[in-house]
Amino acid sequence: MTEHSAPLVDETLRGTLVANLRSAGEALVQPALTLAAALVIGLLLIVGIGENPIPAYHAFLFGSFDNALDFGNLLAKATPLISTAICVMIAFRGGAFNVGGEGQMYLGAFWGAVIGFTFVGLPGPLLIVAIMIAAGIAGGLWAAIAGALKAFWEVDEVVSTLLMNYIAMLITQYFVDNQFKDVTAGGPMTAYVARQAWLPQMLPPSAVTIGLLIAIAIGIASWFLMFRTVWGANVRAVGTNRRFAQAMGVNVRRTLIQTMFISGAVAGIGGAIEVMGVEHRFYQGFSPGFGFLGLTAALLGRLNPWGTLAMAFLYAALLNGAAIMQIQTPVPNPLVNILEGIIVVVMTATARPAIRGLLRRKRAAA
Amino acid sequence: MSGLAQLVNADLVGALLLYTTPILLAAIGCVFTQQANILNIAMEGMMLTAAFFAIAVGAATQSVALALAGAIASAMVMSAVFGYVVLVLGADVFVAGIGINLLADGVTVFLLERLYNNEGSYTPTTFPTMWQLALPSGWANAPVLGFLYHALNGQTVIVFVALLLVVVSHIVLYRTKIGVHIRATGENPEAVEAAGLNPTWLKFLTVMISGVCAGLGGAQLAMATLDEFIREMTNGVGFIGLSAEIFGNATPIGSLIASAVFGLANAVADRVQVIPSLNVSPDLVLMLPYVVTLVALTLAMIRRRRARIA
Repeated sequence: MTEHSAPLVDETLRGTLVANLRSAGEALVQPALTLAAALVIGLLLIVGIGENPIPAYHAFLFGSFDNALDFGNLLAKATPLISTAICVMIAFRGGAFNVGGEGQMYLGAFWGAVIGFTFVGLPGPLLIVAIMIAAGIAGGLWAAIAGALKAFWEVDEVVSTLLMNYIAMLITQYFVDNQFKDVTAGGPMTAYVARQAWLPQMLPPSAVTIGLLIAIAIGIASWFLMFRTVWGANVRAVGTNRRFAQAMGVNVRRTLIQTMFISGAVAGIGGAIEVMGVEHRFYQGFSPGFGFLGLTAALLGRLNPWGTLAMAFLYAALLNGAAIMQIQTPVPNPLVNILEGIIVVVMTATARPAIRGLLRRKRAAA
Repeated sequence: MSGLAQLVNADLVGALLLYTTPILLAAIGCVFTQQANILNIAMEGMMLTAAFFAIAVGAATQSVALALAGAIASAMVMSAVFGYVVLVLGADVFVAGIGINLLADGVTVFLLERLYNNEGSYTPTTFPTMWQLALPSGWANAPVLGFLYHALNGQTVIVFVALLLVVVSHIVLYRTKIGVHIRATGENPEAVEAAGLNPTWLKFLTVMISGVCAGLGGAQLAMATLDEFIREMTNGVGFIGLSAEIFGNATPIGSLIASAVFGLANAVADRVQVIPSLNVSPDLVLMLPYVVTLVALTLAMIRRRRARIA
C-alpha cells in the first residue's frame, strides 16, 4: 500500500524519500503483472491473425529505443500524458474521480493559445509563464465547478465531469468556429501563438520539446504538494475518510474544491504545453483522448506520484511502439488500443485489496 | 420568420426521431442498470461494438436479420464482460466501464484495419436495406398525411421498437415481479438476499438487458441512413443516453422526454447550419442539453438534500 499518513516529525526528508521510492517500487509490481497479462493476450492475438509475433513485438516493445528520433517521439507522447495522469492522481487522492481531464485540457489549451496570440509583445519566458497561468486558471476553474457541485450538493463528480467534457469541447468549438477562428487556416483553429512562446525542441527532428521538462517538474511538484505539505496531508485525509477529516478540523468542502482546482489546473497547463510545443496554435481535436489515457496511466501507477510518472512514460512507449510496429510489420497499430482496453477492464479486478480499498473508501466517503 | 418556418416542419420531426432513437435506446439500457444501482459508463463501448458488427455481418451475409442479430449479440458479449468483471471479479464500475469503451474502440479499429484495410471507416459496396416504414408516395403532398409522410417515411423499424420499449420497460419495471426485484436490488440488496433472491444475478440481468438495448442502438446508428461504419461513430451517444437517463430520473418515461430533448438539440443544430437567416450557432444548440442535464442533476440533488434535512 502506498498510502502514507501525515508526515511524522522525526522522519528525515531523505528517509521518507527512500520510503516513498520503495513504495513506488511496490506500486510497480501489480501493474507489471496486469501489463504482462495484456501483452500475452496481444501475443496470442497476433498469432491468431496469422502474423509472426516476434518481429512485431520487437518493434512494439523496443522500437522506441532504436534511435534518437523514435525515442524523442516517445518523450513527446509522454508529455501530455504526464499532465493528465497527474491531474487524475491529485483528484483521486482527494477523494474525487476526475474524468474531466479532457475538457479541462481543452479549455487550458484554448485560453493559453488566446493569451499566446494576443500578448505578442511580451518576451518569451514571460509569455510562456502567462500562457501557463491562464491555462491553469481555465482548467482549474472548470474542474472546481464540479468540485463545488460535489462539495455542496453531492453531485457525482464522475457524471458532472463527463458532461462538462462535452460542454468544454463545444465551448472551444464555438470559439474557433466564430470569433477566434483563424480565417486564413483551413479548419477550426486559432491563430499561431507568438513565435517567442514556441517551446524549443530538445531532440530535433523529433517532436519532443522542453515542455517535457515542465511536465516532469509539475509531476515532482505534485508529489511535494501531496506528501510534503500540510495542505496535501489534508487533501489525503479528505480522500481517505471525509468524516474523520472533518472531525480533525479540516474544512472538507474547501479542500475538495481546492483539490479539483489544482487537478484541473494541471490538465489545463498540459493543454497549454501541447499548444506551445506541437502545433503552436489551438485546434479543435488536438487531443486524441489524452484525458482517458492519463486516467489509465494514473491507475496503472496506483495513484502514487512516482508510479504515475513512470506509467505515463511506459504508456507513451506502448503508444509509440505500436506506431512503429504498424510501419515495420503487418500487425495493425490498433492492437495497442485493444491492449489498453484489456488493461483498464481488468485493472481493478485483479488489483490487490489495497487499490480496491482505496476506491471503495472513496465511494464510501461520497 | 421564414427562417423559423424552414426550421420547424415535418422534416425536423423526422430528424428528431432519427437522432432520438439511439439516445433513447442507450437511456433505456441505462435505466435498467441504474435501477439495480450500476452507473453504466460502458454503454458507449457496447453501442460502438454493435455498430461495427451490424455492418460487418450485414455486408458478409446481405441479411438485415443477421446484421441485427450480430449487433445485439456483439453488444451482449461486451455487456457480459462488463458484468462479469464488475459483479464477479469486483472491479470498480467506472474504471471497468471506461475499459470497455477503450476495448470497443480497440477491437473495432483493429478489425477495421485487419478485415477492410482501412483505419478510418468501412462502407460496404452492397448492403441490405434496413427494414423501414414505407408510406404511399401519394401522401407526400396531402395536408395532414403529408406531415406524417415527411416525418415518418423511411424511418427504420428500430425507431418504433425503441418507442415501444419505453412502454414495455415501464410495465416490466413497475408492474411485474422481476421489475420489483430489480428495483429492490438497487435500493436494498441485503433485503433482496434475505428474500432468497440473488442480487448479483439480478444486476447481471440488467447489464445484459442494457446490452440488448445497446445492440439495437448501435444498429440504428450504423444502418438507419449510412450503411457504413466509421471509427468512433458513436461519438458520445452512449454517454448522452446515460445523461438522458440521469436527467429522466432513471425512469423509462422520463428518459424518453430527456432523450427527445437531446435529439431535438441535435436535429436543430443540424438544420440551423443550412438556414443562414436564423443565425444560430449549432455549437451552442448542441451544448444546451448538457447544461440542462447538469443543472437538472444539481437541482435533483439539492431537492434530495432538502428532503433529508426536513
